[in-house]
Formats: sequence, C-alpha cells, structure tokens
Amino acid sequence: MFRLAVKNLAANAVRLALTALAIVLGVGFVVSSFVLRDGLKDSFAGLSEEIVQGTDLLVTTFDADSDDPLTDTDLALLNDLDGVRVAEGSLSGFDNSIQPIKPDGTTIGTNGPPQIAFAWTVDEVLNPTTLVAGRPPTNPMEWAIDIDAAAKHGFVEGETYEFVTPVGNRSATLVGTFRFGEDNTTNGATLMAFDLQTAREFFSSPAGEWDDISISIDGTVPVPELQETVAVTLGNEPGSTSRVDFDPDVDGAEIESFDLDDVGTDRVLVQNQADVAAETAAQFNAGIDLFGWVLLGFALISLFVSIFIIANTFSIVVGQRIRELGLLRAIGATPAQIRRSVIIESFLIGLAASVVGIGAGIGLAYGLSALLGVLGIPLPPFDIILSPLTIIVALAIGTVVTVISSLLPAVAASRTSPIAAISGSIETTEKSARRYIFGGIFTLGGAGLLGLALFVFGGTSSTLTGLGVGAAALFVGLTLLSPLAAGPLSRGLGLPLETALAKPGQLAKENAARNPRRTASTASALMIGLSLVSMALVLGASIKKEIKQTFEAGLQADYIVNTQAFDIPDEAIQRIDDDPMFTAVTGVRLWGVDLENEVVVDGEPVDGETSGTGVAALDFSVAEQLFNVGTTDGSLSAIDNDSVGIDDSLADRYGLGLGDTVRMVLDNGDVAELEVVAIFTEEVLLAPLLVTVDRYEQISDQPTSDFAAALKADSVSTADADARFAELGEDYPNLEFQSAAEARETFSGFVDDFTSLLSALLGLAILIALVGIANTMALSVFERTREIGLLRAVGMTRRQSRRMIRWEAAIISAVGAILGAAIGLGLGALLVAAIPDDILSTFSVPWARIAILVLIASVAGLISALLPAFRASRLNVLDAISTN
Amino acid sequence: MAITETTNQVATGPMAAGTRGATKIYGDGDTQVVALNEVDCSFAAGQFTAIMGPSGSGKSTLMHCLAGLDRLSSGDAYIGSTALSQLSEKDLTILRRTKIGFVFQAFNLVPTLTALENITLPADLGKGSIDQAYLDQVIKAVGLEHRLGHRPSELSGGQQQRVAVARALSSRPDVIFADEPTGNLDSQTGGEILDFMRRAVTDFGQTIVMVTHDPVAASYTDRALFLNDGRIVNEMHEPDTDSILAAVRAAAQS
Repeated sequence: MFRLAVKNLAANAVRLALTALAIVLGVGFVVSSFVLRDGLKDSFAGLSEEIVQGTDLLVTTFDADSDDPLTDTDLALLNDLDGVRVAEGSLSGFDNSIQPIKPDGTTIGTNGPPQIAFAWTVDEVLNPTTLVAGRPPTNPMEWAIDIDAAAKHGFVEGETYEFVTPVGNRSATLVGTFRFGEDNTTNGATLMAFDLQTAREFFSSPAGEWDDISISIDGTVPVPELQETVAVTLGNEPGSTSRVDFDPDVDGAEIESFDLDDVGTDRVLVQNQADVAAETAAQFNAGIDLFGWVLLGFALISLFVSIFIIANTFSIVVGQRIRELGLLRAIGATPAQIRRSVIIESFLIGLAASVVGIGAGIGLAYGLSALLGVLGIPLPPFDIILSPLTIIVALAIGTVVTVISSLLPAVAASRTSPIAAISGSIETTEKSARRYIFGGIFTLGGAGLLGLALFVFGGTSSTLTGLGVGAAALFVGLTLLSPLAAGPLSRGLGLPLETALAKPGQLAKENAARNPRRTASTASALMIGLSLVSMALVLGASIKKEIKQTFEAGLQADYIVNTQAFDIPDEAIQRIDDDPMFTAVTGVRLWGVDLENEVVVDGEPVDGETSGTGVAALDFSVAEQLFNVGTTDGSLSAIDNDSVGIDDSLADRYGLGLGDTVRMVLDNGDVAELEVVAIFTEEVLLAPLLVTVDRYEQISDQPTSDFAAALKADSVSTADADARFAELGEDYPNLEFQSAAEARETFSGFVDDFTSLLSALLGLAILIALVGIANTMALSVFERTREIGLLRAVGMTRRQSRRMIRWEAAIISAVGAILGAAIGLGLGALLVAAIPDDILSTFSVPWARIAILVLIASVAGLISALLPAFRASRLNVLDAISTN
Repeated sequence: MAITETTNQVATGPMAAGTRGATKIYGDGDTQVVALNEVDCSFAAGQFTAIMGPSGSGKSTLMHCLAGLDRLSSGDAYIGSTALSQLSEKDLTILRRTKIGFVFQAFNLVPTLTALENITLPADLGKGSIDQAYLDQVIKAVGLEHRLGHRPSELSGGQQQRVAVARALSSRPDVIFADEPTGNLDSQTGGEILDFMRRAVTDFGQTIVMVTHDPVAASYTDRALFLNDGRIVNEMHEPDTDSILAAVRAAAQS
C-alpha cells in the first residue's frame, strides 16, 4: 500500500501541489511565529548582555519609589570595600520622557523604539557605551547621543538642542557621540547621555540619590562573598535574600514570582552580572513571548482553516478515483488497505508540505515583520533562528493536521464497492441525516461552550480554552450544517448572473448549486476566516460607537491635548492654564492599581478576592467643568489626598457608598485608606477610580500626563484658540492639540488600527481559504472535462467557459463570505454582550464595511479561479468528448 | 444498389460540407500515425450520409476535422464554402454554434440544464434568436413536449438522445454530425432515433453526416462512405444492410 500511495502522489503532482499549498502556508505561519520570537529573543539577549557588560555587581532597591533610596553615603561605603574597584551610581529617565527636538522642529516620535535618557557613567569599564567622537558630557547642560540616532535625526556635535522634558522645555549642547556595545546594537532605540547635573534636573532626581549602583570589582574577593558583603554593608540581614538566584533557563514567569512579601526586611538587592543579564533578558522575553503566542494563535487559526481545505480536497479526489479504488477492491484490496493508502498518501503530502512550509516560514517572518511595520508596530532587526524545536513542531503539526484532514475521506474511500470499478459513478449520494445531526450537536455544543467561556468561566486559561474549543466546535458544526444554506444561497446569488451573463452565468449558478455539500465544504474555510474578521469589525464598530457616545455625552472640554506616549509635561499644561483664553485645563494621568477591599456579591463579602482597577489623576477643581461623568453622589471637587471618587461598577463590586473606605495598595506596599466622596456613572476618558496627583505619585513614577483637556472662554473664537495651540505646538512638537471632534477621530483611529491588525493577521487564513477555492475549482474542472468539452463542442467560446468557471468560484466565495459575515455578526454580538457594560455597552454593526468585505472576498474568489478557468478554456475538446 | 468504384463522386445539390486533400498525422517519427491520407469528399445539402469503417480507419478523425473540433495537418475542410483552416479558434467555435449540430454517442447533455435548456443551448450561448415555431415543430417531432422541464438524469437513454437530436436540429445548422448516436441504445430505441434523423433529412431538408460501424444504422442513410487506413475505399448510394455488410467484408479484405 505504501508503494501505491507513493505512485498516486507521483501521478498527480499538480493536484498535490495545490493541496499542499494550504499546509505550506499554515505551517509557514507557525514557523514564522517561532522564528520571529526566537530571533527577537536572541536580539534582545545580546542587548541585555551588553547593558551589563563591565558591571560585576548591581545594587538596586526593591522598589524604585522606596522611602529609603540609595544615596551618596551608600556609594561611599561601597567604594571603601575591599574587592571593589569602583562603584558608581546611575540615573535614568522614564522612557520617552526626554524628547529632543530635531533640527526640523519635530520630535522623534514615540510610535517606534523608545528614547532612553541616562546620566553619563564616568568609569570607562562600567559605562556600556564608548565615545566615538567629541567628548563626554561632563559639564552642565551637555549631552551625547548614539551615533546612529545622531545620523538618522540630523543632530550635529556642537549645536544646542531643545528638549521636551517632564519639567518643561530645556536645552543642552551636544558634545559627543557614542556607540552602545560593539556595534551600537540599540535595536532602534535612541540613547541619550546627559551630564549628572542636567540628568538630575531633567529626571527630577533629588541630589545625593541614585536609581542603582554599579560595581566593578578588582578580583581580590570572590564575587559571591563580595555580593554578601555589599548587601550587609547596605543594611540587609546577613544571609538574607540579598541574592536572588535567578535561573536563566526559566523565562519571564520567574520575575513575577518575585514578591515583595518574600523580601522581608531587606533593603537592597545585589545581583551578579549573569543574573542581571538574565533578568533583563527575561523582562524582554516576557513581552516577546506574548507577541509570539499571539502570532501562534493566528497561525493556528490558519491551520484550522487548512484542515477544511485539505479534507475537502481529499474527499473530492477520492470521489474522482472511485473507479480506481473500485478496481483495487475488485482485485482483492481490503477496505483497511484502501484506508491505509489514503492515509499514507496524506502523511507523505503533509510531511513534504511541512518541509516546504519551514522554508516559507522564514520568508514569512520577514513578510510579517514588514506587515507589522506598516501597521505601526515596527520590529527591531533580528536574525533568522531556526531552532530544532521549531523544525520538530512544524513537521509534527503539518503532518498531523494533514493526516487528520484525510481521515474521513479515507474512511469514505474504504467503503468503495468493487462495483464502482464498472459503474464509476462520481457524484455520491451521502447520508445527509447523520451529517446534520452531528452538525447540530457540534453547533449547539460549541455555542454553549463559547457562552460558558464568555459569561461563566472565571480564570484566564479556562476562558481561553473554552473560547478556542468552543469556536472550533462551532465552526465544525456550522460547516456540517452549511450545505443546507449553500444550495439556495448559490441559486439566489446566481440569479443576477443569469441575467447579466446569460448562459455562462446560468451554468455558473447551476454548477455552484449542483452539489451543495461540495460548495459548502469549499466555502467553509472562507466562512471561518470572514466570520472572525467580521466579528472584529463588529467589535470595532461597537467600541467606536461607545467612543462617540462618550465624547458626545461626557466630554465638555473643547480641546484635547493628545500624544503618542504619556509624555505631556506639566509645564505645557501650566502654559494653557496661564492663558486667559482658556477657562479650565487639566492633565490626566492614567494607571492601574490594586485594591484590598473585599469583593461583595449579593451583599456578602467574598473572601480573599482582590482585584485591580484603572485609576486616573487630575485637577479636581476643574474636573466637573471638563468631564460630565454623571455624578450621582457627592462631588468630584471634594476629592483630596485622603479621598477618592469611584464609578458605580466599583461601588457595586465592593459594596461601597459615600463615606466608605477604599483600601488602595501603594507602590511601596503600604495601603492607603481613602474615603469615597464621589460616585459617578460614566468614566468618560478617565477611570473607575479617581485620585489626586499626589496620591498618584505613590502608585506610579510617571512624571507626565497621558492627555489633557481644556475649555476655552466663550468669548474666544475657535480660530484664535487654534492659533494659540499652533504656537504651543512649536514648543512642544510631541503634542497634538485637537478639538474634541478631532480627538474622537484619533481614538476611533486606534480602534481602526486594531481591527486592521486583526484583519491582516487573519488575512493568511483567508488566503488559504482562497487557495482551497482554486483547488476545488481545478478539481471540478478536471471532473467535468466531458461536460465542458460538450459545451465547447456545441458552441461555447473559450471566453464563455472561463467566465462560467470564474463566476462559479465567485458564487462559492460569496456563499462562504455571506455565511461567515452572518456568523461573525452573531459572534460579535455575543462578545459585546459578554464585555461588562461599564467598558462596552453599545452594539453597532458596520454594515457597509461588512458588505465591502463580502464583495472583496467574492472578487478574490473569482480571481483565485483564474487558473482553473484558463485550464477549462484550454481543454482539448476531442479528449473531452471521446467516449471512455 | 451496386457498389460503385468512384471515391470522389460529387453529390447532387450544393455542398454542405467536404474536404480537399485532408491529411491528419498524429505524432512524429516512429510513432507517427497517418489517420487521414489525402481525403477528398463532399456532403451534399439535404443528404443523410454514413461514414463507415473499422476502428482506426480514420472515420472519427474525418468527422472531427469536418466539424471543426480538430485541425487537419494539411488540406482543408469546408462547411459550405468556408475553409475551416482559415478560421480562428473563436470563429470555429461560433461556426460550431451556428452552422453545425452535434449528436454524440453518450454524454450529450449538460446535467445541470433542463431538456429544453439543453435544446436551446447553442442559441443561448450566442445571442441568436430562436425560431419558436420551428423549435415547437422539432420538439413535437421528437415527442418531448412533456419532458421539457426534466433534467437529463430524469430521462431515459433514448429520451436523452432525442433531446440531443432536437438540440442539433434546433439551430437549423448547415450540417449535423452524429457520432455513433445509437451506440448506447437498444435496437428499438436506436431505431426510433434513426427514424427521426431520417425524417429530419426528408421532411426538414436537414444535412446529416453520421459516423457508425452499425450496418443497420447505415441503412437509414442516402449514402455510405467506407474508410480504411485513412482513405475512402468505397462509396454506396441508397445502401441496405446486406450490401453494407458485404462492403464491410470487402473493405476488411482489401
């Protein structure tokens, strides 16, 4: 049977190439997700090592906002220790908080890699950078920049540049350029070093305090011993958890298990070089892993779609080979042997396609990287790393998926009666009832599981599993049921074609409708792909509607100051505040925070459940002028450092009313008890929990605002206000001053970007679906050789025959697209219903977009059939009509 | 009816179709097969002609080349006065649609179309108008009035062939080519089809060229051409079954 399977493969090379293409693409996507992940990890691992090169020991406090920071006194103590060659304090700014204004008057922008500012490290060994030109920034108001950023953005040594900083606009003179590590591998980030005085000013860093201390050893004391001495010298208990033994083999997760509670009374953390590098890498890796998982998720969707394509191809091929199979049966092959030959064939295709898929995946990794760049998520440069694990997973997943796809067709093949060798009937009659019963069970079961996952399950992993399995079952079920709709839908869709394209149109319609099961199976992959895209569109449209309502009902401000990052300096807000043209302005800082209040269900506290919430800090003296949050009790203006405002969802969750206490966990581990003085219903652009800026500084070290809102005086014209903002924009090129309507568009734009990203990632699944349609059309053309030959003989032109095939594909695609859009609407409605009302309470269907989507899919289906149509038109009429 | 010696007797009436020096060679070198060797023939309008010959004699090739389904290696085939070698693929298709009717041995009908749609298919593929009165007459003659809405799978083999003949007639082609039209039918049903084709010639003045190896079928025709090894070896007028059998035997021995 093995030899038979191989011969079958060899005899049908083209057909198999098409079948394999679906697998190649699916496996390629999986491989590219691994390749990208591994490449990025490698790239950042190199970065992590270069960051700590020269630092033998790194001293940090357990928390950046510690009440007990590292000081000059600590530094002096360390420099006196035996074994320490030199210890130097370091300071760095919040990423993107220091933005130089380029010679062209703009900032670099915060949409790409970060802009990282730090104080120049004097010791050459400890300094991870090396001066390339000029001199080090050691005098006040001096800075240096990495060579690539200098060249890219046009910064010239000797010139003085202005910076947007959290403390306002400042200037400094560029005195030198440096490289980071050997090749300035910054992964696209801009590195800026400032002299200590300037750094302290820009970063608002108090004199005599340090973020952390780097130590270079002289080698006279063994590192572990010195590590302990350093920890004890700085106030840790001897033998305490001064050293965290970080296992570099364990990714990201390790960091999270590192809990403040375990630290006890320790003041500092002292890590050796390897641990620091590993921890840094792990922090990068956690992000890269998440990115990898998301990509893998989409890759699996593509593979899932491929299963339908391949299964469909196999069953058509088995149908076409029925004579041959019947002959095999007649001469004594057992059903098991037939079954095996089909499965072996699929195994070999799967294996071969997976090998090709690995190659495709490498190309796709670059393609994805470019695509993400276009969609506003630029990836740093990376090397292609094809790990053995990637290869094994790719081969296994591609082969298994193909074999699974072939199982049902293999069983069908094994049931071939020997008489089929003679009768050779191709169009098989199926047992419909059983198919539809199973279809119904899968559909209901899948929908039920989705419902449970969305509305009942609590945990993240059980919810995700429920969603995945539920969606898969739902799609299988709907695919089984879809022939019920495919026939009537094909006829309905084909009706206009009959008028527009006359006979070829009618034949296209009849061909699409003649075998609803095949049409449905062919369309199923497109149906799944489009249902996911339209679900995303429904979600996006609903969020946009919510944004619109929020802006219309909740925002009273005339202007919003927007930025790509949370980098609005207070100085800029102050300048608006000082201007008599504006009657009210506030910056808004956003963050997340944990509450220690007990969750209340039906009036009863639930033990042990704490949870996080979003928090916003702003100026409450003007808040009610700018935001209409629908205050039901108390007043926002009553919020001070010992009180908070909460929205009704928090009030419900914790059973809180006016005068009750919110227990908010601060960054240093303390819990602040704050009185509820306002309860409101609408977040608008704020958050469920409102605190003062002073309180906010205890939970976040973010020195700037995320956005700002302003109200102009009635007497001031829009043109005058716009002109004033244009002036401000010259000083703060990182900011955008927008009218409320413009700001709404910006927010809606984020949603559009997100749905575009989702659609693009689902694009490959749709591409696979189109390959499937092309494949089926090619097989159908082959199967209908005689029919097409007859049509040609009695006078159908080549052009008409091409048209007939193309439009059949278009109808099949439209069937899939319409069913998919309908399912997507249902899923979108389910998802919107599942999202809590305080986050998303509106439902909106983007009819026009979905209609365009269906249209595009249909046209794409038509295009996918160009080749089969061409082949049909080139059929040798004689071969087609000659008997036998 | 006597066997005549002529191989190229011009038929009475204007020529509906014919060939001049028709040669068809398949393959090349050692595998070269001469399917037609300098064949000259002509088919008069309003005549029912049988092309006979053993398997491999070239009779199907001759028909395919006459009908514009295949191209000659040299020489030319004519429909009326049109030389087929001068026509593009598209013009050939249109010629098939408008000037030629086909009846094949099997698989004559498009399974997704009804009997009526199959009959009017050539006209529908073009933008040609249908002569409704003539169509009704044809449909009535083949006795399909009550089967018009049926699909081929709902028709018997004989009914399917009748639909095929009706389709061939419906566009009033210059010539109908029939390739073993009764090959898949029992003798009684086959006889009905042949009767009908005979009447189409006699009553409607239709020209029919039929490829067959069945002497009974050939006996319905006005004239029989015998092919062997790619040449016309014999010709008969008003043939009957016995004389054809004799001619077939003679041809086989030649």
